[in-house]
Amino acid sequence: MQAWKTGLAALLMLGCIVGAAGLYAQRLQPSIPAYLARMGGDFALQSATGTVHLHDFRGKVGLLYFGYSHCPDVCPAALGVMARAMRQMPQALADRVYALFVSIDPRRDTPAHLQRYVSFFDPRMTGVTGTPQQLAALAADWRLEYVVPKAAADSQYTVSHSNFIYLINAQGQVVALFDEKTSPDAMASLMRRWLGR
Amino acid sequence: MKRMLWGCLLLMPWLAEAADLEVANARVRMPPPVSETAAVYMDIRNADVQAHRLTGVTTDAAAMAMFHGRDMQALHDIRLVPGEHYAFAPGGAHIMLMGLKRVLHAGDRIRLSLQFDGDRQLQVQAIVRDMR
Repeated sequence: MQAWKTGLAALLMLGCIVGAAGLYAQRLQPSIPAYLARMGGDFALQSATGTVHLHDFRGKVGLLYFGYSHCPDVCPAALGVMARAMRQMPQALADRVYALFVSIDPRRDTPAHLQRYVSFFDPRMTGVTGTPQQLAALAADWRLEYVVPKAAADSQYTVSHSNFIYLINAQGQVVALFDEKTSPDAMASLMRRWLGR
Repeated sequence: MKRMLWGCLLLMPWLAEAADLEVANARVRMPPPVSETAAVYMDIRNADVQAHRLTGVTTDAAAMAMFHGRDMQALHDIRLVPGEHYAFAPGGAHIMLMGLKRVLHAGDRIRLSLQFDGDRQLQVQAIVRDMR
């Protein structure tokens, strides 16, 4: 009888420990949805201050958005939400987050112009772009659809593009997708979880 | 006296028409200072018993103004259903300004002229809002 009670108590304790460890692990490292498992990947793009790789940000959690600076509505809305999410991070995590704006319109968006554009939203944001070939390869990896019309750089044209804000974990993996309608609170809270806070 | 009456009669339809299309909450998303484009949003109410069409927009704040759907495709003609609102709103249809002539600051106002079917126009002031 006594052995039976001891056994049950031990089993309950073990259950509690496993459960708590599971919860703790989940809090530290949420899981990546299966449909995102093969999305994303490293790149080398040009910023106003030189080449930027995704792996430069290893150890940090970031937000990445593809767009173009002549975009009047969804791009500024998305960058605004990203900037607000970054500002909502606790001071202790302020240097563990980053945001990238990748222009798919390099004909008009020079790295220098892009940097001035993104600084309006948050000085910590980085604007990057690449050659049309680099961007096409990147789009395939990141499941991005976009169409840049064949038009002169000084003409007024619009670029259509899919509209995701990618959340990237400290290992450089895409772990969640948002858009400009996602609340900055929700973004910031998931960023904290991926930083283990 | 007779001429004044005629004048009033001639003016009446115009007044009625001006009142049956109402614009409210016209605002501009403040763009980054280096940007040449901006989006304008507003609500247009058709208080008339018949449908109207919004056919064009001009402004002295930009080289070009046009209607865009959410997918950034140009909309040439917008149908205004009687008794309903049409919203140019963030993430939806908007009025796109291309080739801004000056930097827009929060609180600035820009003038737009909306053209409707039947050669009618409505002058609108839109306020620049910092929506970051």
